[in-house]
Amino acid sequence: MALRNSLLRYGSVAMMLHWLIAALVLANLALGLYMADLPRSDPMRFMSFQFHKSVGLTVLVLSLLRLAWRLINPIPPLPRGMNLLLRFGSRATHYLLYFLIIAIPLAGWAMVSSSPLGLPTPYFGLFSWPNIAFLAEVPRAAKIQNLDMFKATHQLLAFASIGLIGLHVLGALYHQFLRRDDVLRRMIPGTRVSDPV
Amino acid sequence: MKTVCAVAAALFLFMAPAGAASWNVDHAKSRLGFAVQWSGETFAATFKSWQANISFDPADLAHSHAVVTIDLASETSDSADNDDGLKGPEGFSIGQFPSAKFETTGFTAKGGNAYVAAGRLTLHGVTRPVTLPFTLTINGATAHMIGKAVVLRTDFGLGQGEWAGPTPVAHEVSITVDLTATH
Repeated sequence: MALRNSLLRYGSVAMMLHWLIAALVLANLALGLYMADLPRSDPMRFMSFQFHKSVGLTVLVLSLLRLAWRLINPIPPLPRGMNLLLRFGSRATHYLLYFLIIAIPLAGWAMVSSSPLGLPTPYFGLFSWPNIAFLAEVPRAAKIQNLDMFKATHQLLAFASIGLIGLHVLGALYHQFLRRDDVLRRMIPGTRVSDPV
Repeated sequence: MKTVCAVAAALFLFMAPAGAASWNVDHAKSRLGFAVQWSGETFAATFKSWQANISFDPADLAHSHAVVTIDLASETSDSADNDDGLKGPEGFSIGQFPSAKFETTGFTAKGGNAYVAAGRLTLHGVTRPVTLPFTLTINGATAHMIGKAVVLRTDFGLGQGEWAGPTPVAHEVSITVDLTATH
């Protein structure tokens, strides 16, 4: 299977990044929703936050790689026969998802860097992930204000991503079962695509 | 008149074994808290709920005694994130140890209005001797006490996991008392 995208389908790099990021994002959304409501006395709380941070930073790195790969690798075109609204909706959803998989972990990293707790981020226990220096070095009072702002942003974007992921999945199902085209298959490894768009 | 004197004397005799004068804390004018270096800055917090049972007489230190019980869940600072972290299992573990207690074992006069209270602090399930130097100004029926005790949080097993080390939260913690009481 080709590494690069073709006119017919996504290459293995794009597919791997797509599904890996999808799995990590879904896991972190679930973990984020779960841990936000954990009482402070719950011993799982601390562990959950540290794990969530490591997964989120992984999403950030993979998403930046994915964006770079996308920029040097044209994606297969949309199938013919989609009306303007669908074409726009499909592309807008994709661009917004790209934005969110970068902006959400970035806002999370900004939160951690602004936290008055000053806790380290041991990336999966392997090494200490640095804070964003200019955020970590402001006085405590400014940190507390910044934290509120980044926390609100992180949460708002995360909820927005749940809606967009829903839309993205609905779009894939629409292509697969209503339009019966190759759009979903070209992102699934090992499938055959017949239609040269 | 004789009767009154006799009753007063009897009352005095009756009360004497109870020790020195009892003081009622004016919570609106009193603060109990702590300060610690946290990420290179001073982090200060106060406890909003605590009770003090104080019998103190500068002329009768031997019979002076104080017990202070602190509701740790009432810890309040400028950030809910710090408060949450402090009360959690890596900090006070308020689920398991909801309160702290300081009970004096003796007072020493240090000259002027300076004193030292020796006592035992129970915190996080650990009891340790702690000395609390303080100054006391008595003005009629009102007393104003300012004191600061320095403890090592590690002596009480406070700070687990990421908070076990001296960064970001220093091991040395100042417990600060600013108390106004009347009797």
